[in-house]
Amino acid sequence: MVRFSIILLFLATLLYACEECEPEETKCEGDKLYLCYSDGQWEKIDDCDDIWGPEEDSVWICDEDAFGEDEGGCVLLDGGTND
Amino acid sequence: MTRRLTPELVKKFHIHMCNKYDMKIMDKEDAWEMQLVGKALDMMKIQDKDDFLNRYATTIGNRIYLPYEVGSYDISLDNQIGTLCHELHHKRQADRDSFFEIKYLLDKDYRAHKEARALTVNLEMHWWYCGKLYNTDMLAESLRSYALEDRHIRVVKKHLKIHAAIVKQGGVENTISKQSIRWLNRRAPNVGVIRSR
Repeated sequence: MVRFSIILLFLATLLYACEECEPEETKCEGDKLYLCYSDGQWEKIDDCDDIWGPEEDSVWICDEDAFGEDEGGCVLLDGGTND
Repeated sequence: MTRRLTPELVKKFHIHMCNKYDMKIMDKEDAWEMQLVGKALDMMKIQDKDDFLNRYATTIGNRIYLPYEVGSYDISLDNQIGTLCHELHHKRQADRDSFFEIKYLLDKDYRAHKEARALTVNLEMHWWYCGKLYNTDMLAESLRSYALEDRHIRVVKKHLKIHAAIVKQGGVENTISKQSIRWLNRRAPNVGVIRSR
């Protein structure tokens, strides 16, 4: 019984170690936006610097507080240019 | 000139994009392999067989199985464009991951993520044509028929909401959408509302 509990504890620790984030959290890494998915793993959801438009010279950046505190997103820089 | 899609344009678009990605369009209902897949999905409780055959497009390898005739008015023409782009996005996902099909079938988290990514293409293409956003919560809820659970749907809702904010500001991020919009704007410059590229 003790051995069984130790194995369970070990498995639980492993599972906890794999759970990297809280689902629905967001984070920026450079211009990449990540969303914590349902399995607790970070998934890249947007390349902000790859976004087209609305103008030829529009610049998009990743902002960790785009939609409020800790609510990340890609945001369009006002009047931004690529030069 | 009218600002409308025509069956001819939609057919040409399918031919162009399928050539570009070396894909073939197949009639889903007539394909024996789809009957088999439908049975398997039904047995695995992923999707009802009739729904699978009549309501959903499916991409396997270099074939896209559609439950309608391209250019017909069975479903709206802009939906046909969105559906093709969605399926081609899955093709790109499969090209980048050798185990795409098996992971998609067996791993619900993976399936949720890949479907959400592909749905962002639908958001972009619908905006290109109508200048309007789909209701992202409803789009996410539609994934319940892919045997996804509340925890998946919640994250997909957030994913789509974040992407919708980009689309609403006139941004396009997916490669398939960019290629499609570029082609469509060149062939029919008066049809879409995004015309800057």
